[in-house]
Amino acid sequence: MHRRCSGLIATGVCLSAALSGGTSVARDAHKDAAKADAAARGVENLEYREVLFYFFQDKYFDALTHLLVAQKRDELPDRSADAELLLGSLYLSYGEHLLAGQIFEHALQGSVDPRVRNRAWFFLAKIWHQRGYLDKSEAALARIDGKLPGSLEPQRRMLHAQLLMEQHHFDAARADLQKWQGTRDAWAGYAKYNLGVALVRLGRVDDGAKELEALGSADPEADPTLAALRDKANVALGYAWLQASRPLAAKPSLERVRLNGPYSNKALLGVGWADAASGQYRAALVPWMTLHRRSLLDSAVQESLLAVPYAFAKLGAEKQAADYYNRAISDFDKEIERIGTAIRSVDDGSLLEQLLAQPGVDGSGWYWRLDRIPQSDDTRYLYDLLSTNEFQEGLKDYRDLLYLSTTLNQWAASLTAFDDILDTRQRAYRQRLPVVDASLAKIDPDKMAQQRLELESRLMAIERNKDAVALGTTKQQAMWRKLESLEPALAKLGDGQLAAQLRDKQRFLKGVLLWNLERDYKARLWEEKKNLRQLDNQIKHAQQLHYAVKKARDGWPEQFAALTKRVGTLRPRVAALQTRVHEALDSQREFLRNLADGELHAEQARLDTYRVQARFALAALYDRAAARTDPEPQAAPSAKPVEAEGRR
Amino acid sequence: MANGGVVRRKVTVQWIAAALLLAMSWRIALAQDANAKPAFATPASQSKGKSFKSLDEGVQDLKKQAVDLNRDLFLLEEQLLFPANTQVAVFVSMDVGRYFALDSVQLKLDDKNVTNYLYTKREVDALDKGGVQRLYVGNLKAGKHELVAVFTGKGPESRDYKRGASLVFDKGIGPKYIELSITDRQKKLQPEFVVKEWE
Repeated sequence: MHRRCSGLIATGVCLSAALSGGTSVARDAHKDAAKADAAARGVENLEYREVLFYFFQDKYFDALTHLLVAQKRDELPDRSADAELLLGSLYLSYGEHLLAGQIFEHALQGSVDPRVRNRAWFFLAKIWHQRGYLDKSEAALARIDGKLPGSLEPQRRMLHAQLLMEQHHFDAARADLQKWQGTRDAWAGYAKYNLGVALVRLGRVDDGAKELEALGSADPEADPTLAALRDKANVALGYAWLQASRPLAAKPSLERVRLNGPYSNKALLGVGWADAASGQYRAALVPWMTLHRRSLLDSAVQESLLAVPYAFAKLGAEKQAADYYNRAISDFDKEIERIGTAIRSVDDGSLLEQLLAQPGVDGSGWYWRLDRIPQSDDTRYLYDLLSTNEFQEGLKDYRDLLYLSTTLNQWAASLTAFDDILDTRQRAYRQRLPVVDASLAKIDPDKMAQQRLELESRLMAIERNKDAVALGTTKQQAMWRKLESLEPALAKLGDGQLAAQLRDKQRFLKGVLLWNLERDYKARLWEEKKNLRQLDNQIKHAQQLHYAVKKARDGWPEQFAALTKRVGTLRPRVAALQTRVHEALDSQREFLRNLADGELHAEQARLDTYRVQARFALAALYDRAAARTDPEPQAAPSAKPVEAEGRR
Repeated sequence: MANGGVVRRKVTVQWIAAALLLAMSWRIALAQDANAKPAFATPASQSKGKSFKSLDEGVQDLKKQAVDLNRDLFLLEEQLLFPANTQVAVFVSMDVGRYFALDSVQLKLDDKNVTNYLYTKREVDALDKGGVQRLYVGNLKAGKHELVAVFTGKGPESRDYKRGASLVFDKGIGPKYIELSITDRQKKLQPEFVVKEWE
């Protein structure tokens, strides 16, 4: 792709390039389009590019504010679809998906490029799906006309299938997913997995198992990216067979799961159960002992604490069984205590503070996601919760509200400062008013204009009459007057020789003077005209200044009143919004707390059940040892193998 | 700015809208990576969904009101602090930037230091992608003024680089916009610092 494109053509070219390429191409295309357009338009888009400056820093609130300011100042095209699309895109980035949806609804009806329109609906569908607006998401997908470009099309189809499954329309999802058969795109594996799940949910276990078996038997070397999915399919299939009381069928698929992958714990537990179900307790101990040494945070590991002594008891090794039950009880006690501490920190709000006290968390916008949580006893059981959309989206809203709260607090302080500024300016105005009025009184622009007109008339008369004397220096004019004044006196002197000589001298001098005056006449006339033009500029400047000062002087009281009124109007708006944001923060905090509480209490209850089972089994073991006549302990872990897979 | 003398900038913004949607494609891919893989349906999540949705709708409404309020406050602040008749705004833009990595800009107006700005990586990236930064907004009386900008950073061969650019401009009764543009001078393999004025 060329580094530079030109003007609007750039958009189309770069768009096409980005559609066919990866993410870096998309970014480059965006950059080139922006710069090419900037070069073509110069200053006109300074303010739009300022919007981009904030957008590229993920400062969506600021980007949106600047765009809305430009819109308010009528610096956007008149409600054009493009401007609306831009606004909708920014609202979407800011997390205002409902408003963005409304805007797109309106804007995308026009003559928008179908590729842009389809893309916009697809993104909205994804966001709405993520936020749990399943009906809206499905409706948005339905608005896509034709196929999406490149990798977006399989994503769209997968999203549609997911939506159907999440709404329990498994048959429709199956029909959708079966269209993937035979394709080799990156999503084909996921499609096969979901097809298997949909078939199982429809009661067609054998058909579903066939799909999962095909996926689970795929060569992991062929496509390492699908390794986790392969493991997941094998675990799902293995547990499906265990649930159907077919342990022998379950074992091969469970044994295909990688030992160090995210599904290995469940697989190890399942393999143990498959062996135990076949009466192979010694074999079952192998995977269960491996599991026993792993982190207790995993439910499969927790279950192994009961499974191991259960197997020992079944093998008649009562002492080992009792030891392992005692250790399990002790471990459960510790974990239950830890969860109790975590619940307290959730209830007093400190957990949420911990989560949001990390670098980079401040700000707002939809793209943010909490990927890491602080390592502490309070948070160790929240990893699963963190992976749920519900918690993540709730946390995003909470973060956005915190940002709004901070912004509103800053504005509230600024409004007080605005009051002070206005007050200071009003006092300064009153102090300066007499001086300003006196200055204004000294200058009369109309009189100045009149004087200039008179000056021009005089100059025109001089030019018309070729009056060289009028343009002479003061000295020349004085000499001219003196020579002229001598004429009557010289006329009275009679006809004597002396008189004649004096008259000749006077005429001579007058002639020399006139000659000099006429010699300089043209240059002086040009100079005077030049001066007149300069005077024009000076008068114009003085008039402008006079007008500006007068306008400021006359306009200030009205401006002061208007600004004071605006500050007065905005203050209650800020205060009201502050109250609402605080209330919303409370509600949002409560919502997140309930989610975390629910997760932790469920975990605590499960561990508590395990502890009771362990104690019961231990008591039974002791009774048996004491009486030597009691049947062997029956406190096998009550959690059925399928639960481990279906819990989340 | 809202007073008379405002230069109306009516431009087509299709490129920005399309570009934002382009940007979204990879941003959304990143944001949703964790959820990209299909999973079993999660009925538990849906049962709580109603509560989340009602809260979310409230938050959406608040965010809309907040951004509208922010716009009104922004306009008020600008009108109050930087009235159109005295306003001067200095922008920084960057084109290509292959021969210069921006660290900071020092700005002087009439020999008075008005700003010393140190750039973060994100800001430089934003400039590099086509964004424009409003570096300074202030007030000046009508008449002649001098602006001096000193850019520091890394030049060709990653050497420390410091260059100045200046402009004598006439401030009229409307707002004055000045753009400091950093471009590449291909022939000399050097960066170039251009000052443009707009009114």
